[in-house]
Amino acid sequence: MFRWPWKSRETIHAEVDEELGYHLDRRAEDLVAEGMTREAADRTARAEFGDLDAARRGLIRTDLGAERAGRRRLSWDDWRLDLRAAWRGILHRPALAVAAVATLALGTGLGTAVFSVVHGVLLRPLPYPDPERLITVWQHDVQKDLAEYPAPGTFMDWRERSRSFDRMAAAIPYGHDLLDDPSRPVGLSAWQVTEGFFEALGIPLAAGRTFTADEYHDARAAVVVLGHALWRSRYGADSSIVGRRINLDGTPHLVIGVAAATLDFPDRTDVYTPQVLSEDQRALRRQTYWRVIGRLANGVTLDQAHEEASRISADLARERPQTDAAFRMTLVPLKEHLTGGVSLALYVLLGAVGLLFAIACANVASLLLAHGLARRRELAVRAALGAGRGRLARLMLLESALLAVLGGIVGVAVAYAGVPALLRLAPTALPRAEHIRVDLPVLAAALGATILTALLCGFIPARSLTRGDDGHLLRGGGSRTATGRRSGRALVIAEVAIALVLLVGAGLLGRSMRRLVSEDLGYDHRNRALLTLHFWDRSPTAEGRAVLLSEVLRRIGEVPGVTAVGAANALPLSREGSEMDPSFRLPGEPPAEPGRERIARLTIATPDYLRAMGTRLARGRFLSEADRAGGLPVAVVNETLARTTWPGEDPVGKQILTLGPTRAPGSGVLREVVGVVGDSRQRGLGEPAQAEVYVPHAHWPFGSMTIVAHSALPVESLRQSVEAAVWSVAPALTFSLERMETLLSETLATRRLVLALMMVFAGCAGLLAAVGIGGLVSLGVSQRTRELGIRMALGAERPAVIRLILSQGLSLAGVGVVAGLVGALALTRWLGALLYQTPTTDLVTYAGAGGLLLATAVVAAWLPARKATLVDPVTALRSE
Amino acid sequence: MPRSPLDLLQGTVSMLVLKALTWKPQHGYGISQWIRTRTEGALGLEDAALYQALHRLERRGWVSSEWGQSENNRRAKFYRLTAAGRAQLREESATWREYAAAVFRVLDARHVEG
Repeated sequence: MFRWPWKSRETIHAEVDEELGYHLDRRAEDLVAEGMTREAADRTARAEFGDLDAARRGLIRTDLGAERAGRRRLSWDDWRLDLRAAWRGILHRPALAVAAVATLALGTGLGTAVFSVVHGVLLRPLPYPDPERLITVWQHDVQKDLAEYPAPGTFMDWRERSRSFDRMAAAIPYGHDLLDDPSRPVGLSAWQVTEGFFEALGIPLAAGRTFTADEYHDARAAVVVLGHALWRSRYGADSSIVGRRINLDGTPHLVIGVAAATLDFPDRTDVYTPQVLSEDQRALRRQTYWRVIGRLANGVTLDQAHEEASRISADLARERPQTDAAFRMTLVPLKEHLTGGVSLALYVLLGAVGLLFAIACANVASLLLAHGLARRRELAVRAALGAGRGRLARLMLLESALLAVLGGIVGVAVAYAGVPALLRLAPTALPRAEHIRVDLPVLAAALGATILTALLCGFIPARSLTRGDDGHLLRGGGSRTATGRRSGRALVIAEVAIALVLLVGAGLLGRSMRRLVSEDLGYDHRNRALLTLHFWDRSPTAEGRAVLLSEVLRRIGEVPGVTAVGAANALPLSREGSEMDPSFRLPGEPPAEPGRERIARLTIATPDYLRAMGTRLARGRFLSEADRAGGLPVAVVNETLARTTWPGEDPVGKQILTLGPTRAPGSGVLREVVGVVGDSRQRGLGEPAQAEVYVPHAHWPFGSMTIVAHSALPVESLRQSVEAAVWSVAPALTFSLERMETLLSETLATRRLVLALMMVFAGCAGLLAAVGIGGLVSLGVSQRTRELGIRMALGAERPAVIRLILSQGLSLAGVGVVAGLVGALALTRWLGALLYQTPTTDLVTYAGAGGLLLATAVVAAWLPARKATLVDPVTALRSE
Repeated sequence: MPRSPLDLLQGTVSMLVLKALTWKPQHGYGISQWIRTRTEGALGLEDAALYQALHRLERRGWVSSEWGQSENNRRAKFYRLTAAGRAQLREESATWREYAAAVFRVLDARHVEG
């Protein structure tokens, strides 16, 4: 038995007493032999001895000290010896070591990478003080069931009525031209912010001050706070810029401050300017583009704020039934707003990588187990030399710990290098991506995973190999091998089951993606360039801007390579533009009660817009040059509107009453439907179809339009000629040029990233499971060499032997597949929300994943099976 | 290195104990008896000091101990000289001999003049 060479305090006392007692007895006995009486002898012996009590205390003190020092030295020596033995054990089996370290590095590396993403995006706190008190406020349209940005008037009402917030402020997107060098204008993005914006977020500026109350009330105060990135890139991070003036849109603006580097709400921008709130804005209740943020007051819970918000919504709906009946004030914590779209996906990935991690551990555990069985002679020798069961188990745990540490180091190094590379491949796939890095908390998690690995990999082999009494250990045979093989089978079955779960997950995501990309967008995103420009400072009136626009369109249309060009107020996939979803009526229909109107997305389009977008014409005609100002009001509708409004009838020639240029609620223009086109998915694939109306720009000279140009030429090669065309009409006007294909793929970036990672995980899992099956089968073959030799000597045909061995591998895989199918049914529920029109019980996926794994198992088992039949029966019979 | 008289005394006891263990493992009483016989009791060495010396020597690794059967069939703690103890004994007795020789050279000096 394994026994520590340690002495307790009691043992030491007893031994000292026994030693001294022996001395005194012997001395007394000698004295008696010389003729003394027993009492006298005892007395004399004690007297001769000296101070017995002092000696006793002294000896005990010395021995206790020796014991303590000995324990320290001994245990350290022991560990060092075992560590060295474990290290030698690894070095002696380099193939095993490389396989185990690679497997563990795969598990730890992928785990670390995914955890660093989860940590950076979801767990790391937002860069604001008390970030959990920051709440974004939305206008939920119950009729469309859509959370929208609120309109200015709605925001003003909320701010005045709400008591739950210390501050509530809005940011409004805007654009400026920086004209420090008038010949090279630089387009700047801007947020106009309302009073309290910086204070609500709560991070101090990097330099200077924020806007004063006066500056928030005087529309002529030309003051600006610079964004941190612009300050660095353009002004060399020089604080003396504060107090100087910069030229925005031809007007000198005083720089009063520089925003903090971490300020990123609503997102990073170049400049901030004050937004002056006026009573006129209170009337604006339909244009929804104000980003609202609030800081909850101390002591107010989110629930209380929710209650207050519903009260305010109810009040507003009662007071303004015409405009606000369908609106609900909705609160979403900032973090949830930023990460809500990806948190499920990231947790699914974390779970998936956890499963992969488990397979990697199981694989290494079965590797160690197999090699442990192969080296049971060595273990028996160690046991014979006095190593107890505990010591052997410790030795094996140390081996697995060393492998885990090596694997952990390699894995973390790969993650450290790989995560930034991965993020560069998909820069728009994740929010807060700049916070993702392998740092201390991530390393701590990796360390935890490594320790877990060491225990998981070492425990089963250590337990099943050192089981049984010491005699068994010494004989190195019998039941332990059976236990070992049982453990090995259980591990492989678990691996197959987990691999199947991952395969099913990846399969479901893949099928969902295929469904999604095969959807019809309603327009053609290929070879299309989006051009966003603003004529605000070039013409004060909408009519003037419309004239400029048509001139720009004409010039772009003349650019070689451009085959069609058009413009609309809001283009699909574009982040800019003002969307309108007004209600419409049929002639003769009374106004519907609020909340029950017919709603259609209204697009103001130039004649060639639908052609330039590649929209499909179903009936009638597109808008055309014939639809001039002053002409008959016409409209083109989409198929969804036609189907829902006039089911079974020909919509061409029908009339609808919809919003007109005066835009006053209730007023409308009666338009004749001249054509029907396919449904357009405004935000990309997978969006449900919505009723749409297209009206001619000539009838409604809207001033803020986005241009689309169709050209087979690459967008970047168009830039110069398009710039020349624009500048010939509006000199030095800045604009942005984007590929529609890029915009579309950005809408799919998160899904693509999740799918790609799941496919990698599933692939690795399948591979590891195959290695596990192959390893176990080949171990079985090597242990049964003799039996197989006898069978073949007795005339068993090779195919029969191969079938015998294959059936073993297949039965393992079969059990694993069945267990995995059950597991997948239970686990893929979490995947449901990530899937597009794909049930989590999709039969094809389950069957495919199961079949794939079984086929893999056949291949994995066939290799060792074939090897077994190549053995010469004579050699086989002599083995062992 | 200068030594205080106490050091010297302790060192002497240790040396005698080590010497007593040169030939065979021995228990404390045996060592005591052996020294008593050899010195004819002249040193007046107390057993208390002898045992303290033994345990200190064991802590330093110069002797090791184990329980065994004594001549009269009782359990007794036997001490054995270790390799380190043997080296220590050699060194200490050499030092002691030099020391004693020096002292004797002084004591045996005759007054020789001219």
